[in-house]
Amino acid sequence: MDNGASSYRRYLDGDEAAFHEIVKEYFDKLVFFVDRYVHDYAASEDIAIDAFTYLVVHKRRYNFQVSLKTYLFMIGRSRALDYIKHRSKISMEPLSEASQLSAEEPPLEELLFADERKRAVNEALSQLPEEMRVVIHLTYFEELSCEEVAKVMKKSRKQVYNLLYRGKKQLRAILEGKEELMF
Amino acid sequence: MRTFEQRIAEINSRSEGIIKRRKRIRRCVLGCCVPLVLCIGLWAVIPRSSIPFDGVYSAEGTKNENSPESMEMTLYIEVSAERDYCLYDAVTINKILTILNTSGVKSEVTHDQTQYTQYAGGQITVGADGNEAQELRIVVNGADGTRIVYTLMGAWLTNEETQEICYIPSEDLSELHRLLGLTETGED
Repeated sequence: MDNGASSYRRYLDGDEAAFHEIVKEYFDKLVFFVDRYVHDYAASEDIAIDAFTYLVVHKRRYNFQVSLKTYLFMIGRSRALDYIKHRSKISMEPLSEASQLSAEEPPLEELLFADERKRAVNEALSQLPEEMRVVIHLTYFEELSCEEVAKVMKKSRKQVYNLLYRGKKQLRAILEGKEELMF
Repeated sequence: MRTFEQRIAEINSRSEGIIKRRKRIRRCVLGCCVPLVLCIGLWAVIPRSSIPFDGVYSAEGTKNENSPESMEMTLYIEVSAERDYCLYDAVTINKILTILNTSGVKSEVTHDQTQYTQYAGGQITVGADGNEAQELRIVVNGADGTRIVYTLMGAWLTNEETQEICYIPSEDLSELHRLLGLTETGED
């Protein structure tokens, strides 16, 4: 399992279908990951499109040293942080059409977390600090290795371990508190 | 939420837009910078070499092979006095060359011989009137690489190569001092 590297190699050799495979495989995951930062589905989708556009425009920048998934997540994270930085400068006016659309369609999280238990975990996760949330997301949702998470987060393995440990601890505390409230 | 086809279409349209923009920028850079660099390069070479030279003749009306008129073009003039500097202005250069070439030769000059007698000894000499005369070195550099070195001692001008000594009349000398950017010493 090379997490998309072979597909991208085929795409570089001129196989357009390989790029479609990559988009099919990683687009939703990337949107979901970016949404952990920006908390805005439309913006997350836009950022994900940007990340894939980067793959198309800068074809030779990917050096196959990391998996394509990790590379995409690295681009996505960097774009998401840029977006957050610039969001405060731009006043966002909600479009009436967009709000209608979002009212018609169920949000991504509802689709992904149809299961009640998963939804509870996701809600608890959203209460964690950003870095812990992202580390847990990448480790348990995207099943990336510690090294890959460290690459995406631009942190050392040790820092990732620490964030993961503290994140799990806090998550457990939040979930236990919820259970006590429920029962 | 976009469909798969919409996502692909969006990625393709954005990437095409970016690629087009990059190509346009590259064309702009090539279209502007390359001619600009060429123009600067040509400007550095052509204007100085295209300064028209009047072809000044000596007082006798003969052409001296070692005088500036033998140069097709004069690039600049170096002046060595208390400080060294260069003159590039074509008009000034032409005026200086006119004065240097229209001065009378030593053999025709019968007065002030004593003013030059101590010249060979050093930089500063004492003339007949007892005033200190500062030695000026004027180097005329031609575009073809030729150099003509003159030494101006008071009112006496020596062509270092031919050792031809000329006397510069006071009006011309003051004009020469002015052109060379020197203050008049009042020795003439």
